[in-house]
Amino acid sequence: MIVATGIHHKYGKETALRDIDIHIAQGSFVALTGESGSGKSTLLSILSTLLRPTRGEVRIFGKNSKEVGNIDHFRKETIGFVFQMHYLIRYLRIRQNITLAAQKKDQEYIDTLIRYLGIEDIQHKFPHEVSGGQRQRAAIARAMANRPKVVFADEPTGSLDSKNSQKVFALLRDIADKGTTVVVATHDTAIMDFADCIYRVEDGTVSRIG
Amino acid sequence: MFVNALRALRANSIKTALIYISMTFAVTAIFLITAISHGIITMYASMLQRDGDIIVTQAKIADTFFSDVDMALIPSIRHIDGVKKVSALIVGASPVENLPIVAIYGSSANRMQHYKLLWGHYPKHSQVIVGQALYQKLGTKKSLTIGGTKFHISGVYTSDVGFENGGVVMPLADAGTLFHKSASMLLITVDMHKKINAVIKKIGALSDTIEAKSTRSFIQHYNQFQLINNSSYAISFIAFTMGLLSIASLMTITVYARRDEFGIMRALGIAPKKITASLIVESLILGLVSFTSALSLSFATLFIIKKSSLFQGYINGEIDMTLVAMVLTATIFMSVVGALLPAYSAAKTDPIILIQRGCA
Repeated sequence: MIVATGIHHKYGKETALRDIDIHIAQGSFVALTGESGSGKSTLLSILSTLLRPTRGEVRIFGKNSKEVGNIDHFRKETIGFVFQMHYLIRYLRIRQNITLAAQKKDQEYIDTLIRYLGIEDIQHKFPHEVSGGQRQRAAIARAMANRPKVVFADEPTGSLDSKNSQKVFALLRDIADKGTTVVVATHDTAIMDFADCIYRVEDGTVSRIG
Repeated sequence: MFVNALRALRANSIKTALIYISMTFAVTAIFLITAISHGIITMYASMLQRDGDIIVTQAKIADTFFSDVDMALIPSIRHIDGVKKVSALIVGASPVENLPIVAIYGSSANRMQHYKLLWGHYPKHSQVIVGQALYQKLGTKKSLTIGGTKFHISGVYTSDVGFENGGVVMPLADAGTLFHKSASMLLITVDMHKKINAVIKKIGALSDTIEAKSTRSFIQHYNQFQLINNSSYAISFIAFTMGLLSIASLMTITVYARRDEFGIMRALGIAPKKITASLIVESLILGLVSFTSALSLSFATLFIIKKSSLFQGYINGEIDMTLVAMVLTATIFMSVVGALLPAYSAAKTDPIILIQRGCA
C-alpha cells in the first residue's frame, strides 16, 4: 500500500504539485495521466522515492520514504522501475540486463519471468539486436527480477507503436493481477482499458477520473 | 565484475583507447626517464667500482670533472698499511671530429688492462686507444685531434660501460697536459677490507685539499648522481601527475557519457560502492594493460637508443625488477586514484535523470 499525504513540490519558484493526497492499494493498477508538463512524472518520481517532495509524506508499505536508511537496499527489495527509454545497458546481453540487480539464487524465477514475457528467444542477444517492443519487455523483466512489491513505470509505451503499447499495458495488467502493485505515468489513453484506477494530473493537482 | 568491466571498456572503445594511450605514454615516460638516469649512474658507478675500494678527489668539489688531485701524494698513500694498489684517472670531455662531446680518460699505466683491446697496443706518449663505438664513427681511423693536439690511434678496446666504449683513453701525463691537472681522482685498492676506514682516515690526514671516501659511499653521496636521481624523480612525478589527470579527466567524460547506465543501476538498487568498484576495476584493467604495453615500449625504445649512433652509446637505460615493481605500483596507484573521483560521481548518479529526460 502506498499512501501520499499533503505532497507539495516546487522546482525553484515554480510549483509542480500542490497538496496532493493519494492512496494506492496493494495489487492495484494505477494510472497517472495528464498532458506533457502536467506534473505526472514528478508525482511518480515522488511516489517511487526518486524525488523528495518539498513538503508532504509518502509511506510505502508502511515505511516513510524519508526515514528509509538504505535507499538502495529499499529500492532493490521493494521497487521495480520501467522507463520510457528502456535504458538497457548496451554491452550486456538481454539476460544479463535482466539479472543485473537480481539475486543469483533466483535463476529459476528469472527463467520463468523470461518465458512469461515471451523473450526467451532474445535473452542472449544484445539490446541493439532486438525490436523496441522486445526491449521494453526486457526492461519490464528487469523491473520484476527482484520480485518487487510495486512497479513504477514512466511512459512505458512512449517509444512504442499502438500494437506494442497494448501488449505492454496488458503485461502490466497481468503483473498487477498477480499481486504486484503497478503505477504508470502516461499520456497514452489506451491505459483506460487496463487500469483499475485513473488519476488525472493537471496544473499540479490530482483528480480521480476512473 | 571483471568480465562486465571488460565489456564496458570494449563498448566505449574510443574513450578506452584514449585512456589507454595516455596511460601508456605516461608510464613509458616514467620507465624511460628512470631507466636512463639509473643507466647513467650505473655506468659511471660500475666504472669507479671496478677500480678499487677508495676514491680520493679534490675536497669540496661538486663534480669529478673539476677535481684536481696532486699525484705527488701517491707515494705517501702507497706507504699506508693495507694499501695494495693506487691508480690515477683523469676524466674529461672534448669534441672529436664531428662529434660534439666525447669522454676522454687519462689513465695511469697500472689500470690500462681494464680496457680490453680488440687490436693494437696500450697507448704511449701521443697515442690513444679508442672505444669500439667511437672508432666506428671516426672518419680518420689512424689519428684524431683533441684540444688541438694530434694523437695516433694505437688500438681499439671494448667496454661494457657505454661512456668508455664511446670514449678515448690516453696516458695520464698526456691527459694532464690536455686538461691542466695532475689527476681527477686516485683509485685505491686495499688489502683487507676491515681496515678500509682506518686507511681512509690516514689518506685524509695527508692533505687538507683532498677528500677520501669508500667507493660505495662516494657513489651514494656523489652530487651528480643525486642531481640525476632527483631530476628523474621530478620528471617521473610530472609524468605520473599527467597520467593521473588524464585518467581522471577522461574517466569523468566517460562517466558523464554513461550516466544513464549508472542511473539505471541506482534505480535498480545496486549499491554505490559496487558502482564505484566496477569503475575502479575498469581503470585497473586499463592500467595493467597500459603498464604491459609501456614496459614493452620502453624495452624497445631503450634498445633503439642503445643501438642508435646518435647517442654514442652514452645513454644506456636499465630496467630491473625493482624498477618494474616500482612503476607497477605507481601505475596501480595512478589507476585507482585517477578513477576514484569519477567513480564516486558515477555512484552518486541520481536516477531521477532517467525520468526527467523528456518527460513531464
